[in-house]
Amino acid sequence: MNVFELITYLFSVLIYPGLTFLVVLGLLTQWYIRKLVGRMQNRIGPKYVGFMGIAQPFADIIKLMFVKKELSFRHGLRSFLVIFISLGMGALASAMLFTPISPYLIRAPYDVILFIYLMLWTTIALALIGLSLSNPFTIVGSSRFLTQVLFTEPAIVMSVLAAVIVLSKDSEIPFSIYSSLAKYSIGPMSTLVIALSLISYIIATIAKSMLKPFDIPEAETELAGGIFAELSGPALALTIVIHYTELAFLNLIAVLLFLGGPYPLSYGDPLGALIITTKYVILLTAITSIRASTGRIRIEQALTAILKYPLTLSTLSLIIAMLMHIKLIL
Amino acid sequence: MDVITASILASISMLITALIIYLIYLSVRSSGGSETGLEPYLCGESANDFKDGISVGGDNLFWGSTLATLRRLYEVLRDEVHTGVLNDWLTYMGIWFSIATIALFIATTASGG
Repeated sequence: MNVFELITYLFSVLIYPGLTFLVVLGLLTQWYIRKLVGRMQNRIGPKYVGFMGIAQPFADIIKLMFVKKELSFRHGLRSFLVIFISLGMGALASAMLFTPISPYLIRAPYDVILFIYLMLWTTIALALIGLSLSNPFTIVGSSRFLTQVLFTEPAIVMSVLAAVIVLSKDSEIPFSIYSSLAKYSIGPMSTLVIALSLISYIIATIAKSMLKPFDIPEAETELAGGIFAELSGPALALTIVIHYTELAFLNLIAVLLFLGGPYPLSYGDPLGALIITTKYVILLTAITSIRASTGRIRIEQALTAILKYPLTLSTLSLIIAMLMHIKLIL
Repeated sequence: MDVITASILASISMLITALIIYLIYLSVRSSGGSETGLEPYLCGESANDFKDGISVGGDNLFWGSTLATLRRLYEVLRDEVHTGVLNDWLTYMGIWFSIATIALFIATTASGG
């Protein structure tokens, strides 16, 4: 790796599309959700900081980081949870290097496994937040979160795998995320696989991001915030950032992998970014509409719903993708 | 690039980012100050009032997955599979091995082996 490559690598990891880009995108996503849910529920939503309150999430994070004190509790492992939040954020920034929007690209045969591994780190980090604090609310919140992701993670993994099997077919680098994202033209059976995977992925993303009706691990009125109950100051700021950064990341991957990214243009086209942004906002609006129009369900209802829909659909799409791969279905 | 190089590059980028975030957190926390040794938040209750402590029992933690959602699966396993009749057991194992063989066949064919 020469000096230019090293600078490009560090720029990709820390600025675009890595850490800085993801954090800004995550906080803008939070603003959009808060504003849209506010309007749908006949409220104003964020208003005072910036145009239409767009800078409100940034102001909240700055206040938590630099003004608010961090309270730490007896028997709590505060450094432990911050280390895992940092690793989770690092994993998301690292996973962005596999996408074609990154100036420095990581692409290798079967790198989809590595990509999925990096996607799982935020789940581990969020689960450990509650388990590292000695409070029944946070522990119950974490156990609910772990129970929920026990069913959502396989759906997300199978959806991504099915899409990559179909899209990286006949490419030079087999089962690579880059090859899958850079492909635009697919047949009718592949379209079916992508459609099934997309539906499964979106429902699983809502559940994984703890948005209504799957906000059971938080449950403000029941668990006093669940896994976030004991957090304050900089630790709470980092937790909010990783929570919304993960949602932004999952949404962006849905746009790039299942919705064709900048299609009908290509990644090199300057207008491609506009198309990706439009698809991102449309998908986020759909997720937010579900979040705003539903109430919280019970944990067993959530698990049954995840078993019935996303898990079944993703299993079906993976089976069809495998049969296409061994050429039993064309 | 090969898979090993990709794994190393991904791990390094993950660790660099994590280190930067952790250092930012440490610098902010040390300048902002913190209060330590507080009692956990229990909606106004005192932790000393609970005779058995404030930990949550293992049975309660995974109630949602072990009892509520998968109850039907457990009932089938208990009532249909574990009947104590040898023929039922052979049928069950026969079905299980058939599924495993089909899965193995698909997996080996898919990998080109």
